[in-house]
Amino acid sequence: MQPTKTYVYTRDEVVEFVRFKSLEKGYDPAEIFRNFAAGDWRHFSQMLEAYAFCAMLPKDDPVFTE
Amino acid sequence: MTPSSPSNWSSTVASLRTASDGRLAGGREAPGHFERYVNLLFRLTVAHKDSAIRLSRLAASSTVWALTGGHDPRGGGAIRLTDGRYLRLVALLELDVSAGRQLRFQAMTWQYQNAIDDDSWVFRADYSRAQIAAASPPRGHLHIDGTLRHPDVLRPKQPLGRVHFPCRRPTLEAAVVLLADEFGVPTNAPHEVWRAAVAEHEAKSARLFDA
Repeated sequence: MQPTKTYVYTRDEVVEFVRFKSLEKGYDPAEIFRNFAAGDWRHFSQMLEAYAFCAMLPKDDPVFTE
Repeated sequence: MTPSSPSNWSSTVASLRTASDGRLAGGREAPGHFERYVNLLFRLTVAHKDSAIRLSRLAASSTVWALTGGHDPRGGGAIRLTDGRYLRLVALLELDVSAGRQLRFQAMTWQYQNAIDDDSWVFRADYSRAQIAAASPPRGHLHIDGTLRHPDVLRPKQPLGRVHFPCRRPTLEAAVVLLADEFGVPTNAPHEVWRAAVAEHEAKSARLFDA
């Protein structure tokens, strides 16, 4: 194993990361944000990294209602 | 002393113990200890020497963390294994403020797959502390990609890979044992070394899941 790395993201970088992961898997980023906010983590395994990044944001972040 | 002798692994085993204690102690250092624990666990067992994991968090908050296979944030989250295949790993960790800032899994998935992308998977374990879909599968469950000898036991057009086999706490130690003992993935440390380490720490890892 290589040494571990820790990445620290700004809010905008987190949002961009979720968008990237959503589009990479063929999903609408807005749908992924809405699903996360609704507790409906569909495509769970495939999209868990995106949901994990959503969980880093405050629950009232505007991206969840855009 | 040969490279594979148990004594060569004593410092790794000691570091694993320290990291294990640290992840269970809670507080802001716990995620870092957990990341180190996972690194050392896989180093002892089934990880290729070039494999990696990473930890991610928001700058403004230190209560939610993502642990993912690989160093490349735009990669698929896979850890390269000693057999040339991959284990895709994503874990959502949170410091539970209602429980003294203890580290908890909110969600996790690990998947054994033939290629670095996830089109050719073999088995997968999923865990979510919360409900993850309207259909509400068990919090912890295992999927297997295969074909039944008696496919008529499933509903029409339901592949085996969509069946949720309940498994309460899919620990990473369980993943390692499954890979090494059942799928023959070579381990880096001798059997008696990594087996003793897994036995020492797996029960403790259960504390990171739901009560």
